[in-house]
Amino acid sequence: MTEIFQETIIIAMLAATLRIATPMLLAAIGELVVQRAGIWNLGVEGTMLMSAFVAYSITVATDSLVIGLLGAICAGMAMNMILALTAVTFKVNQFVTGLGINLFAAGTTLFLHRQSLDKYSSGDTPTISTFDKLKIPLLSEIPYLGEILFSHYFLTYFAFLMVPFVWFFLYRTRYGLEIRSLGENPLALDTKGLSVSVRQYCALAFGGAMTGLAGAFLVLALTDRFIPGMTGGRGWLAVVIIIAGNWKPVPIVIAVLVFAALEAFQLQAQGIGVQIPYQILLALPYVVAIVAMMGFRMRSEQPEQLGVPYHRE
Amino acid sequence: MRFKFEKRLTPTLLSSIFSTIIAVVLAIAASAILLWFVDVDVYEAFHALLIGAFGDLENIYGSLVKAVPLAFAGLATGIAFRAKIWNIGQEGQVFAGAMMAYWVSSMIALPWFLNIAVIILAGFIGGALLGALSGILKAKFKVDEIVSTVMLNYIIVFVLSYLLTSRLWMAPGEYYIQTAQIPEINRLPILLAGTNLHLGVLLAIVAVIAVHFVLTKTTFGYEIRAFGSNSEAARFRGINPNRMFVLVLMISGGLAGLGGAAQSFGVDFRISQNFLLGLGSTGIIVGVIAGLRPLGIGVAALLFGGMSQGGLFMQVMADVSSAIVSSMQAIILIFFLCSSFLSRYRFTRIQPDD
Repeated sequence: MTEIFQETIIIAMLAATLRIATPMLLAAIGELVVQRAGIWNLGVEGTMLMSAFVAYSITVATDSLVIGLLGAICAGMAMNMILALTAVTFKVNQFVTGLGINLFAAGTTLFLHRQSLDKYSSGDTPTISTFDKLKIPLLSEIPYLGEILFSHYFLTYFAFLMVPFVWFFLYRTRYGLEIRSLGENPLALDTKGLSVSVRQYCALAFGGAMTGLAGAFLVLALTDRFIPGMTGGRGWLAVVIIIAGNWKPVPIVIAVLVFAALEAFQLQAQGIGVQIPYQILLALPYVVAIVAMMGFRMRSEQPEQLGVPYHRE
Repeated sequence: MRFKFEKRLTPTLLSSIFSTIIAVVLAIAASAILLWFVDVDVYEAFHALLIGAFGDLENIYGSLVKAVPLAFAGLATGIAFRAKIWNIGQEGQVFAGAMMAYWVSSMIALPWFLNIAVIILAGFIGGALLGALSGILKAKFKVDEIVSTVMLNYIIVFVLSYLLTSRLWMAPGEYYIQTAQIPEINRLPILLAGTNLHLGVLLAIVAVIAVHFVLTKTTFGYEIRAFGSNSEAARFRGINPNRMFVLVLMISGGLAGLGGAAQSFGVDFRISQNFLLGLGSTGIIVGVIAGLRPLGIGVAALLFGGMSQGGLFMQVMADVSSAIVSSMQAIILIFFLCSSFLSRYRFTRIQPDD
């Protein structure tokens, strides 16, 4: 194997890491705010899948990527509103609701996809022209680094920029403090006359919008059409990432990058002749999450009231 | 005249059944809208669904067979959720049961009835081991069972994927990624000649009755219910929470595992990543909408099994994708959760003050 060939592969792998990281990071950052607000949303996978489907369908119908993107954001928010209604207002079991959202999205998108196939004589749905990559002037000219860091879709930059933004919001603003106290001690907020459910609805709306963007990224940037089940566990990975990142923004970014690198490596492993069963690499994030939770027992940042519906009485 | 929205002290069996019926009706309405939205003849589709599910004896047998893994996964849900132990790893436990049964079946050559008994037992053990692992993680390391069961769902499927793609479990020359066919002697026997009713149907019925008996009539069942209603108080009555976590998750996983083994050895005769997909999750819906009551789970499993069976018929007769069925089932769950909240309340008439 020549050196140039190796170099190209490594650069491609690192650039792919950021690309693969994008949807996971978008969803994880959104879900972080939701979990900090005390809601354990297990419906991320379904929300992402439904958003991807809506993004694709609207883009095909309107021929506009931007409208498709906006549609995905709305779809993500709408899906999370189902959870808001059941978990926040009706106070029913959040895990079961989240699971219901996943199954609903999987079944409904598969059904609508199959039904729409009839409309196309080619036997497959049409492809869309995806977003162009946004090369940052000058910076993308830097050898190696330019290609790895500065030649990406705009959603990739957006995802990484959201991290300091959400960090600042959670730790340096009053509203962030309120959101965090929802997960720790909602009663304290309630006794001050601040509405618990309004804030939880807002957190879920934000999480839904971010997960919607993640779903849109899958169809509008990574591939060019909707494929049933195309999220392939990425929504669950977002949940895993929050656990592995111990509910803190910076460790979450690190977890995202590590898991994305594993996937990027897995895609290239056969090409560069590495003899590891790819399943081990794919299973690793899930194993890491369990091991991480075993280690966290003393200093866990997991919100105290996560997944516990708030009852006033 | 005014009405007051008042909380019921205890949700009654009647109100629970009522909310299930409301949920089913609303879900049918919602799916009708979905069908209408894509220009499907709604009446024709639902008619085909109903005929396909319970139209004649053959369809009823088909529904019964489809209900088997759902009943097992539903019972797994019922027994765990009753103790407020949130096992949502039925999906993985179904796979684990089928895989363990397959692995054991490939090594044994006993007289056929012993063979079958060992295979069924292996199915239970496979799921039970995976469940117990989550229980131990919870008891010893305080790892949330929701997290560990979800993670294990994925991990176990990757294990299966490895066993297949490494060709350890694949027949030589096989093109599809699936195990070799299970030989005739290892398959669950047919109960009624000329039908596809296999031994699993009988096992599921027995399991429903057994779990009902355990939950309502035994000390262990009492412990499960006490632990679920107030784990602190249960601890003071001498119920060891760690023992409960391991034991309940083990039994729950074992039940789901039986479902996987019954499906693989009674219907599919092969294991692949696709054949067992969704059985565990659907089982969770079955358990929840049955109000976690074992006898109800039997009925709900039959309803959902009928929907799956009818869905196949509908796909052929009305040219409507059977995927609508899983959508409908999820909608039933979501409406059930809403209506079970509302059924916790009741309207009472109050006299105006002035």
